[in-house]
Amino acid sequence: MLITVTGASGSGKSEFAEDLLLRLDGDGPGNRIYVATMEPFGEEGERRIRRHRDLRRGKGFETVECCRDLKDLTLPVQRGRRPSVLLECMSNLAANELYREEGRPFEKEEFLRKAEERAGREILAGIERLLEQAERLVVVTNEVFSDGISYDASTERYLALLGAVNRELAVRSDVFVEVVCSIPLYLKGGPL
Amino acid sequence: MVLIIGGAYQGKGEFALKLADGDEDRILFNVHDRIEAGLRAGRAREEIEAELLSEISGREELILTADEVGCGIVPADAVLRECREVTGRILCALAGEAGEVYRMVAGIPVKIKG
Repeated sequence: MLITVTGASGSGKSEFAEDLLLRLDGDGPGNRIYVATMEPFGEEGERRIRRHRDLRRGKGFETVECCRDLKDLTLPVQRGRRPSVLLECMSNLAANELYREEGRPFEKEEFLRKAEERAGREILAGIERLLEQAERLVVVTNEVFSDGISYDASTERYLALLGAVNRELAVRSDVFVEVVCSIPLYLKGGPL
Repeated sequence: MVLIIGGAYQGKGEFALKLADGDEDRILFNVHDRIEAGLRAGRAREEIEAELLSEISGREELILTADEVGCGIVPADAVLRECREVTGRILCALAGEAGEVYRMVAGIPVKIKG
């Protein structure tokens, strides 16, 4: 089962996704895996990660870091059972995949286009790989598309990539939820 | 209390006035501006949030409007980044207190709570 949870910054989507997975599990702790995709850049990044760790505390998640190459990730199996998996956040994974090598010509349209295609393929293959291993998968993504600002070519490519990944996730998902001010809006399937 | 959120220029104020039968004293317009002003004056999120919560406490007739500001690329500017994050968190808290929450889209109120 695939569930995608989206929402704005500060919308409460992470907390909702964690609690949803716990609710669906009804399991004791030890069979839940949190796939963390964010690279801890600087003090603010570390603070953000700490906040998320605090949110997860006591919810029985084992954290696995995976900033890129999701399709090579093999999840630990405990007690012979497929784990419940929460992946957070697709917006980080997409950026890490798109801008994966420093010093590459990200200002060149042709290079960017290929990088976007490659990143999209890799990410979706990674999701399929997780679905093969997981009992259920909750993917947290981000609504970053509505600020009305036109960005440089490389950021626009990022938006195109994440938009395409989100659309594909929505097609693939059994349930697609947008969290607004901590309130879940079930846009596909559900409510759970 | 009723909370009306949505993007800029979606008709939140107009809808609030309609709900309030034109009585502006029942409306707190643009709560996101107060949050930003508070942060820029060096106040902590907790202080701003507590003040707003105490202001709405026991006033069921109140109607609040606020922009949803978190649906974009994370701003490079640290203050703006904090503003949108804190605005989101405080709106979560206000939505928790609200009896009804509406999200305005192109002038159409979509009831998402209550």
